[in-house]
Amino acid sequence: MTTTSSLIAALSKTSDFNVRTFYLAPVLHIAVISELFTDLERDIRYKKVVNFLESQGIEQEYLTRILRVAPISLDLVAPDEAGPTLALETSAQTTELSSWIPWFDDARGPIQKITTVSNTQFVHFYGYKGGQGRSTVLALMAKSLSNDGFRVLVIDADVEAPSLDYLLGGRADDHSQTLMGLCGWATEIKPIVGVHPGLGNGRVDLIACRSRQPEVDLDFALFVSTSPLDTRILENGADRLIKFLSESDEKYDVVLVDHRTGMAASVLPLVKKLPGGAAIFARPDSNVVALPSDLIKITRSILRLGFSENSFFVNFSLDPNKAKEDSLSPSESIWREALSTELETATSISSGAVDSEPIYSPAELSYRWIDWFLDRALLTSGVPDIARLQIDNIDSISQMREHLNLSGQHKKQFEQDVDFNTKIVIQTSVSGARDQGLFIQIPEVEKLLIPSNPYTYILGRKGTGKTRLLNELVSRNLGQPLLVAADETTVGGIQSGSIEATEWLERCGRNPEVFWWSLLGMALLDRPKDESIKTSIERHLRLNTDPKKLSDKLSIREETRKHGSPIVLLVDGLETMVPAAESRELVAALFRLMATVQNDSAFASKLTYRLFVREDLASGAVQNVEQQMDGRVIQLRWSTASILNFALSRLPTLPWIRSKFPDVCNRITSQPDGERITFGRLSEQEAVDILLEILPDRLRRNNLSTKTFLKLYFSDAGGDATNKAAFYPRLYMSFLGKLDSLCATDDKPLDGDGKIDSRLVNQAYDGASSDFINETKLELVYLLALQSSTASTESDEAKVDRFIAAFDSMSTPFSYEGAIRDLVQKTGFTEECIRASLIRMKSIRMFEDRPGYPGWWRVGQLFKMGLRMKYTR
Amino acid sequence: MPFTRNISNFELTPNANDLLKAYCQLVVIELSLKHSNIAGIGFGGHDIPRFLQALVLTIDPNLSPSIPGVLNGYVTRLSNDLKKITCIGKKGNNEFVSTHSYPNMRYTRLQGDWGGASETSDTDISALLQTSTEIANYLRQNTVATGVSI
Repeated sequence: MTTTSSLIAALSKTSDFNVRTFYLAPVLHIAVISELFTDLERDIRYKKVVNFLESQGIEQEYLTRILRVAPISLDLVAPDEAGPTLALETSAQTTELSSWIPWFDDARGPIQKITTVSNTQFVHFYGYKGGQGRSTVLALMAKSLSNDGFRVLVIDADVEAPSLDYLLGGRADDHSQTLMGLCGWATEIKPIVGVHPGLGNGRVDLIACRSRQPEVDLDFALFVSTSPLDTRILENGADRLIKFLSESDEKYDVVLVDHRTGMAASVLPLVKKLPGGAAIFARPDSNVVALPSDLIKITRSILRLGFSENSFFVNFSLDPNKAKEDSLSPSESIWREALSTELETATSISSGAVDSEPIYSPAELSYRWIDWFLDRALLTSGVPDIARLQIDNIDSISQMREHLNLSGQHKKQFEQDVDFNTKIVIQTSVSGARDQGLFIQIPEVEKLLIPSNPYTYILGRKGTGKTRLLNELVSRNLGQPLLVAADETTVGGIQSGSIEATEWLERCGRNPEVFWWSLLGMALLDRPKDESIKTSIERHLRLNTDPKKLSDKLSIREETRKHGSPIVLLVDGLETMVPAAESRELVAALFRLMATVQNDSAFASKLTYRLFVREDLASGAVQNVEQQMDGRVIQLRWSTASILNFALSRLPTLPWIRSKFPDVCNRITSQPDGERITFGRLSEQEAVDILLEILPDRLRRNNLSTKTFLKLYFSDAGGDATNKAAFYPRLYMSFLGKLDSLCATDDKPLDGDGKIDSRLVNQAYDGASSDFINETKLELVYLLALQSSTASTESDEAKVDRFIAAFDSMSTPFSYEGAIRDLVQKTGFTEECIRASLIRMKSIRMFEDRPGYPGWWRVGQLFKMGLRMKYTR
Repeated sequence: MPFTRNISNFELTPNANDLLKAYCQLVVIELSLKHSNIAGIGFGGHDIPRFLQALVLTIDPNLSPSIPGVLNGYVTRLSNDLKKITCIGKKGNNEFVSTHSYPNMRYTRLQGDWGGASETSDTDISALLQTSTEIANYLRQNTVATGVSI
């Protein structure tokens, strides 16, 4: 078969022809310089070439065909004409390396790499085929590095099927946060900040491939279709990135680049311009023994353009039974040997090694092959914590980091000063607003503490710390409180349900649209510097300001545009602002305002809302709410490990426990555990081990292990799957506070082992869970709309009390319809309102479906005690 | 024949600077395309990328499979190169040379002339010259298939 390669090889066989090949996109030039062409017309020169090739067994029709179908220019020049041709060849040297062509030209001599100078380390993740875990491994690597204090920037250059924004949970709102923006679609570069918070100075930022807004689809298609036609588009993008990195205040320790697979045109322009090592994903096909020759050349190009010393291969194994120590199959051996040879050759070339001695021993080359196994932790959406991976994969991440010289913790000291001498206040309130204990920065919370983060919807169940988090944001100057919880008096926002708030709502004609826009207008228009929003509303009430004047959207937008610095407004307390019948519309109106702010560029560039709200209120707030919240949501959810860290953090703040267990408390407040606890990073077992130094191993009441008690009794899981359980800091705080008080007043608080007597543990829990239901009652006043079948002057609070009392001694699990009949009979409330109330109580996890029994429910673990329901089989 | 002498005159720029060479090369390409009487290319306008795209449409991919792809690649490169050239527009404002009106490059804001404000670098001029030279060379070598003679 006659090919371009064989054609070039044939022409090169005679000394009459000086054959030079070079690629100037989109054409491969085969320049033949020969004295034989002197003074001859082009068609005569062509005839000479044809004659020669025929003497080499290549028929003219083959030559004609190749010239016709391939983008080849056959330049036949005499030596005295060769100047322009040689000039083109020189030009090609700076551009052709962005293409695969020169690497596939067997006739080419050594290709000279052009080194770009950059102070940043780049790592290119490339896969010959898709589905080898490349993007997932990159995301895990980013998390792993940031957890050790490295500042990481991730670039999604998979131009045809980008996915890192979904994997990492970041969303690009406009081109400035994207690769498209780097390539000219935006005038400035603003990575998405904090897609993963990391520890200490560590963090993961993202430059997505594209903005996900549907109206960008056509622009993206244009970008994808034109960037292969002119590789300078991506090269210029790379230049711009290097400039941004050198000029930005953010100093990244490493930039991870995710590439398209195969011979995509987008790969080499970036590898060429962004010097660094490569993670090459190359898994042998099980039914193919021979290594594809193009893979060898692709590997060669990537390794020689980059830093092969920092490169390695990743072999993704689908076999769940395979282990690292298993022997290789024949095809695997062949692949590894061939690709390892490329690695060694590339390193030899770059190091200028002239010896024939191999640079790497077989063991060293073997160490460059890293196995990646199918992992159950990766079967859920998103990217799991590193700790959840199987041990072999955790080792693989470490090995990869070793090759990249990024092992261990970042040398820079953690900047966070942890102050454990916090004033002790264990006063719980309806909202948790008065919890002044140490603020635990679980990963979800960490994201919010990063300025300019994209998260505007913070969803959490009652008692998960939303209000405490709002307080923390205010104290760190990361936002101004607009509306706050009903009992929040310290941070300056308008208290939900307060006289001022309800009066203002009346003056807005109870129109939630006017209410929210006028509050925004109040915050922005004509507000003296340093006047709190709370003072503003008092002023406007006094002056009898017309809310419509404050809610003029055009004025507000204009004021926002002119505002010097970005504004972040915090909103909490929606649940208690209006009665249940009006709450949906109030929430919907706020969501509509937030959608306007998100989608209007004048607003979006300066104004951010952060809304703290119960999940059930958010879902279904408006049509397409998922789309509105996409990439902007944080679910405040305490896992078992994080809640146990929280519990530990509270122990040193309790006076009796601190006096009786000073060693335990010292361990919690000093390094290294103290710092890890602050970030919720002690494992479940580590946290339980410390707690069991003060708590008994078992609780006598039901011979329950204390470890099980700590995991089950504070979660809202009804029975199955504790890995789906959510925990409530408020309940733990209440439990520990009561425990401390009981111990302080008891005659014999310690058992024979010197630990807290189990009877007191049970008493503290009983009290805490009863208190929890009492707190829930206050929310139920706003959540439920209980109506009697007869006329009644009973207050809403009294109705809720009576309704809750009706559950006393009811069985759980129970039939939904049967419960409705019972409750109607006991309470006299209408069937309709009881039916709706049960559903609302279910939405806040007081009840849940009984699996396998349609129409049957069961009470949530947390509420069983408080509702005094009885468990029956 | 239309433009024969024009084309010949504009080809002779042995000692010219890159801006002038690039300009003349583009004139040669424009006039050669117009000279070739290709459907979709009349005598009006200066939109070389559009002319090249019109040329692509006349080529039978069965007879010349590689040429359309190459020409499309050149269309993209030339468009991108022109868009990097800043010039003074008709109304006296700064603008980029439009792909449909390369002659505006006569008013290029060359590096050094404008105190650093909205200037075109010599590198970008050289890139434009490179692209236009390659286009001209390619058309020369594919006269039979394209019907364009330079």
